[in-house]
Amino acid sequence: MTEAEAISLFKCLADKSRLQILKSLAVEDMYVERLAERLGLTAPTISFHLKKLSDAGAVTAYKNQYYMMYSLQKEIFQTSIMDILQQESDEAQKQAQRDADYRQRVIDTFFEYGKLKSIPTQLKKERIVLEVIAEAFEFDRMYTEREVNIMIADFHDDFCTIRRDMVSERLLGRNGIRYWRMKND
Amino acid sequence: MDRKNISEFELYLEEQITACKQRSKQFIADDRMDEGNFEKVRGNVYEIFKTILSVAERVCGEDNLAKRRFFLQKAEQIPMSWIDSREKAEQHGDVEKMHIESIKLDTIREIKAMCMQIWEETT
Repeated sequence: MTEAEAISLFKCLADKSRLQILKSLAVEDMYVERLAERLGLTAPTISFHLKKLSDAGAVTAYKNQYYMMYSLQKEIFQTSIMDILQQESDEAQKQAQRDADYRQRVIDTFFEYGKLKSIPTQLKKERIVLEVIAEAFEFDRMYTEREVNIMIADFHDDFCTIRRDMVSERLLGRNGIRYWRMKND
Repeated sequence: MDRKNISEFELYLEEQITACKQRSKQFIADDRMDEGNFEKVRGNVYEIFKTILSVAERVCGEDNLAKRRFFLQKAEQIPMSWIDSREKAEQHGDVEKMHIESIKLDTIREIKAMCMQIWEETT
C-alpha cells in the first residue's frame, strides 16, 4: 500500500457511517438497498459512501442477477498499520533535504571563517553546532582534557561549556581523564 | 398566498433550517462528517429560498399573486444550474458532487411542494 493509498483509506475510514457499512459487509456481501435498510440511511447516501470506499480500495462490487453486490476487500484490512508506517515515505527525501537546509542555515549563522560566533541558546541549534565541532575529533582516538580544550578553543573561547555540552550530548565520551569521539547512529 | 400564509411558509422554512443545523451538528458529533455536510447543504437551500421569499415580499408589495409567481419563478430558475452541475458531475463520475446536487434538487422539490400546498389552502 502506497502512502497516498494509506491516507485515502484512513480518511475514508474516519466516518461512522462508512465504518458501519464495512461492518455489515464483514458479515456478508450486500446490495445498496439492503445496506440502506440495515443502517437507516437513504440509498443515495449509501451509494455515495460505497463509492468512497471503493475508491479507497476498501470494497469491490460485482453483479449478481439484478443486483450490484458489494463485498469487503479483505486483503486491505489484513495489512498491519506497522507495515504502513515502516514503508519508505515519498516525503522522506524531501524531509531529509529540509533538515539538511536547516542545518546549513544554522551553521552559516553561527560560524564565521570556521569560528563559532556564539553558543546557540536553542538546544536544537546548539546540537548542530556541537556536531560540527565534533567533526574535528577523530574516531577511535583518546584525547586528554587539555587536547580537547585546545581543539575546542580553535572554535570558541568558552571551551569548558562546549566540552561539557559535548559530553552531555554524547558526542564525546569521557572516562576519568580521557575523552573520545562517540559514534552516533 | 396572503400575509398569514406567507408567515406560515416562512415558519416552515425557518423550522427546516433549524432542523438541518441540528441534524448537521448531531452527524458531525457522531463522526459522520459527510452526512453533516449534506445537512448543511440542505439547510443552505432553505436559507436561499427564505431570502427569496423576503425579496418577493419587498418587490411585490401587497400583490399576493405576484409574490407567488416571483417565488415559483425563482424556484424554477435557480435549480437549472444545479441540474447542469449534476449532469457534469455524472459525466465525470464525481459521486460526491452528484449527491450534493441531488440533495439540493430534492430540497427545492420539497419547498415547491410546500409552497403549492400553502397556496392551495388559501384558494
